[in-house]
Formats: sequence, C-alpha cells, structure tokens
Amino acid sequence: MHVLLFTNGRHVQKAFSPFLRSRGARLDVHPVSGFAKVLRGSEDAAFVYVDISGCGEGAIETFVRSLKKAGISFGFIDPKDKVKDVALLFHRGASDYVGGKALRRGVSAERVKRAQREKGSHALSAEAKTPRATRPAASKTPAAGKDASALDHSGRRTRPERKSGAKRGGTPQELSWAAIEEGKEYSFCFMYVELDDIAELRKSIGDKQIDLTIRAFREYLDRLIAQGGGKTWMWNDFSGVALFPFDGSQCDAVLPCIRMVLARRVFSAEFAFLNTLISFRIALHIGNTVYRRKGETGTIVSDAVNSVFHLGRRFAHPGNFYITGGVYDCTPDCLKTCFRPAGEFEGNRVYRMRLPL
Amino acid sequence: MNVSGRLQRVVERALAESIDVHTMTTLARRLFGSYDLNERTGFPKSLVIPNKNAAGQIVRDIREKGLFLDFVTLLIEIHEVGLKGRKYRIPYLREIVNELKKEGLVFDEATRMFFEDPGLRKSRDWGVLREGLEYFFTFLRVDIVGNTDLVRRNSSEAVQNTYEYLRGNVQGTVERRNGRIWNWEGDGGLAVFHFSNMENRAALCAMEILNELYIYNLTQCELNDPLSVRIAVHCGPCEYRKCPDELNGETIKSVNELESKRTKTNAITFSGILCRGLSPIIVERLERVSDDGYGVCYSYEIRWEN
Repeated sequence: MHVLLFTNGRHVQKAFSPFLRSRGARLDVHPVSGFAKVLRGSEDAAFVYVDISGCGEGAIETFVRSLKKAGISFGFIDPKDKVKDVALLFHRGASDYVGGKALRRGVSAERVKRAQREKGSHALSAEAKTPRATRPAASKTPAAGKDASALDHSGRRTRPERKSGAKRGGTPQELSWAAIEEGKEYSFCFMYVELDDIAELRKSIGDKQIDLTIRAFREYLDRLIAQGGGKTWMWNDFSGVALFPFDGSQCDAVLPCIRMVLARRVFSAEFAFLNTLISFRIALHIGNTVYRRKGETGTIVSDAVNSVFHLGRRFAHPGNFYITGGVYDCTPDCLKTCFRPAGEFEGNRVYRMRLPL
Repeated sequence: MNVSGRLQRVVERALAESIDVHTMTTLARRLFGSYDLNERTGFPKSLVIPNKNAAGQIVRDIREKGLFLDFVTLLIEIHEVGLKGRKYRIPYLREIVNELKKEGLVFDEATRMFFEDPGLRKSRDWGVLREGLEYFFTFLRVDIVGNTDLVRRNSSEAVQNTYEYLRGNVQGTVERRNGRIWNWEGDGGLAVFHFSNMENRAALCAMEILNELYIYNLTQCELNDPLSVRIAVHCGPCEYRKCPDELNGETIKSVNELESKRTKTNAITFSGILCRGLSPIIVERLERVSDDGYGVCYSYEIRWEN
C-alpha cells in the first residue's frame, strides 16, 4: 500500500514505523510546502496524510479541496490536538484523524486500511459525488455555444474558459493561498458583504449593541468564508470584501453564501444582540486583481474590485444575494436552481437568489 | 468529579478569607437544605467557630456529598451577582477556575455553569448529571421519512452513506450547541439539551439540521429521491439514565408522538410549552398547528419567496 505523508516533523514520520513493518507498505514523505506539486504526480497513492500543525482553517480547506479533486482518500495529523471540531473534517471528506495521543501510539497498516475502507464522503466514484445535475450521462457531449470546451467525466470543463476577463493563475491544485504571492495578479471571486441599516440602528439601539453584533457577524463570516477556501480581505465598519482563489472552472464562494442566507434567522437568534432579524446583502463577482495583504489594500486599482463594490452598494437590495453572469456560469448546475435573472448592471448579467421567508 | 487536595485547600482559603461563618452556613443550607455547623464541627453553640474551621468543615462535607461543583458555582454567583443584595469579594476565584479546568471542566460565563470541556470530553451526562435524578431537559427527535421505501429503492452503499451523513450532521449540530445524542437507531434518534437557554439551542439546532439537509439534497444526496426528515422539539422533566434502553417517561413519549403523529415532512414541530421559552426571532416564523386534542404546537419549515 502506497501512502503519501506531508509533514515537516520527524516525530510524525517516526510515528509511521509500525506501518512500514507491514509487507508491501510504501511511505513517501514530503514537506507540506510541496503538497500541490507532489499530489499532481502521485495518482497511484492509496492514502494521503497531511500534518496540519500550524495550519489555519483556510489552509486545511485548501488541502481538502485538492485531495477531493484528486479523488484520493485522506486523513489529517494533528500532533497538538489543535482542531476543535474534528467531526467537521469527516463531514468534509476525511477518512482519518490522528491526534497527539494516537500519533504517540503509532500509525499501523491496519489503521490505514481501515481508514481507506471508511472512504469518507468524497472517495466514492466521481459520478456519485458530482452534484446531480452534472452527472456523466449529461456531460459526455461537449456543451454547445460559447462554452465549447470539453467536459470531463465529472461534468467539469477540462479547459476553463476565461470568464469576465479572468486570468488563469495556474492549474487548479496550484491555486491555493499557499501559492499566491503579494504583488502578483490573480483571478479571484470577490465577495462583497454589507450589513443593512446599521447607521439607522445605531441611532435607535446604540453603539454597544451594534458593535457586538458586527463583531459576532464578522466572526461568523470569517468562519464560513474559510470553509469555502476564502479569506476576508477588506473590512470597513459594516461592510467588506472577501477573496476566493478562482481556478477558472468552479466558483467555490457560492455555496458558503447560500448557507449564510439560509442561516440568517439562526444566526440572528443565536449571535446577534439586536433581538431582530439582521439583514445583510451579498454580491459575488469574478475578476482580477493584484494581491496585497489585508490592511495594505489602500492602493489597489482593479476594475473587478470596483465592480463588486458598485454591485453591492448601488444595485443590491437589502437582504439579497446577487451573482454576476461570470459567477453563474461557474456555479454547479444544482446550485443554479437557487437563482433567478435580475437584469444587468454595468455590462454584467446579474442573478438573484430566491430568498427563504 | 475528582477534587484534588490542592483545589480543596484553595476553596477553603477563599471561603475563610472572604465570608463570615453565618453567611457560610447560609450557603451550605442552600445546597444541603438543613445544615448544623455546630453539630458538624463539634463546637458547642456557646463558642464562636473560627472562620478557618468552619470553612474546612463545610468544604469537606460538600466534597463528600458530591456538591463541590455546585458550591464553587455558588461562590462565583455571590462574587459577581451577590447574595441578598450584597456582593462578596471571593479571592482566588481565578485559581479555582483554572484548577477545575485541569479537571476538564470549564465555566461558561453566559450560562454561569460548569460544563465538561468539549475539547476533552463529550460525555452523555456533561460530567455533572446523577443517575436516577430528575432534571428538566429539552429533547429533539429526528427521523427519516419513508425509511423502508428508501432502503428498498436505493443501493445499500447509498443508504449507508445517507445514514452516515444524517448522523454526522445531527451530531455535529447538536454538540456544537452543547447537546448530546442519547439514542440513535440509524434512521433517526434522540438528542437532548440541558442547562440555560436549552430551548433556544435545541430549536436552532433543529432549524440548522433542516438548512443543511436542503444543501445536502442539492449537492450531495445519492438517493433516487431527496432525503426527507421529521423533527420534533419538546421540553419537560425526565430521570437521567446512563443506559439508553432505560430512558422513558412522559416527556420522551410526548416528543416521540409529536414527531411521528404531528409533524409534516421536512418540518419541525415545537410543543407549546417549549415555545414559551423561544426567542421572538424564532417564534415570529412559526405557524400554529390546530389543537387536535394533543395540545397546541407550532410548526416550522423552509419556505421560499415566489
């Protein structure tokens, strides 16, 4: 059995000594920084372990997405037991989690085989895991019209078309935050989000309650954005922009935003301090920008950033979620059913999500 | 729970240095009901019991009766809120809380109670319930709709994955709100909530389960038809039992009936008594279900604008 281990720690590598004693066991150890490159060339690996010491939620999410795309069973190693919600890793497709105690006992071949048998939610055939509307039977014929690139067996375009002037930053596995460098231009999905009516609420309810609500909302937003592989990039009082690396094929920001809209009442009852349903608007748009770290974005000049701000501030109605045509085209078919055409704005088609009451 | 000698000594010192003997006795009576300090220490009523002796005796007695955690909670309360209109400055509280943290217990500021640290342990009784005692709980009952049909019409792998999804979704949602799964049968189960604000936590948990189910059906469901559930939420008294088979009582019967007989597909039914404790943000979205002899209840389902 061929296992890939990504770790920078020798003690983690040593923990696999029991595994190596098994007949036919093969363990290739690589530093975590080489994850994207090594994974691309390792289709014969039966299982992948990634040491997530020192990794934040965004990096873990990137590993999850890359491994799911590669279709390899995987597990995480957490020597210092930093992960608070281990179940979430399994929900996202992991088949194994090795905490500090289990690591000290050692990782055996039996454990790896068991984990591989568990498979996790991703390691079923690509057919089963593809959102239903893009199953293989529908996708064997290349799509007609503008988007004439061939579709692979999972329903994805094999040669991503440029969307709204989007530039490909590299192959999908390389478009992780680890690969993004300051000062260089990349394609992103931009997410504008704004809390509605805050100025009026400040007058009627007072600053303290509003500030508590904004803080709770930001923590909630950061969590959801990180789960989708994004990062909050700009924030000013009650509105801001998040970035999601865009690989030219699928926009990963749509699902977290749908989740936010669905969960509005739950969030309002649980975390907001206003005793009323909070209202927020969201706008998604794809485009390019030079990447600068959070806090150093004052000199950014980008049409895409301007567009998403205009869409959010001038077009969007309170409480609504909008996506531009480029985002819509890169949304899985199963999620497109949530949206309705909402006209045009600054040369872009706009779609609006049907709202839960 | 394990009370180390060090922890006991710190609490004794905190008590002796901050409260007079009369107030100490009042605190002890809050927990024991009746408590005669003279009898316990052996000091005759004609003598004044020194603070140190009183504190030592009370803490030993409390530890023996398994009420140590309740007593520390009381000390925090009189420090922050007061007793009979007066606040008592209790020293070493931070040290006491830190010692308890080493024992795997954390103090929740919002509910002002100790819970077992979920990062270390998620035991059935939160580390604090006692077998056979009656407590007030909120129960959440969830069940797959049409399970027999689902098993017949889908591959066993798809069914198994669906069961795993449901269990993972419910368990994650419940435990994030400090609830516990007390019973699970594959196609559904019973979750329970305790401590302050349990009604809202259970209700929000139910709503989140429905939200996530909607997304699951859109993006991941492997079944021939979307997965559907019924959920019911109800609160009431129940005796705590470690063994799931021994769980019974009127409250559990009621929540099971509420789910099986009064809940629509992909909807939640909340009992009338539960709704009294719910946030207005939740209540404003509920629809009253007509009283057909079972008592008033309220329904929630995801509805969409046209």
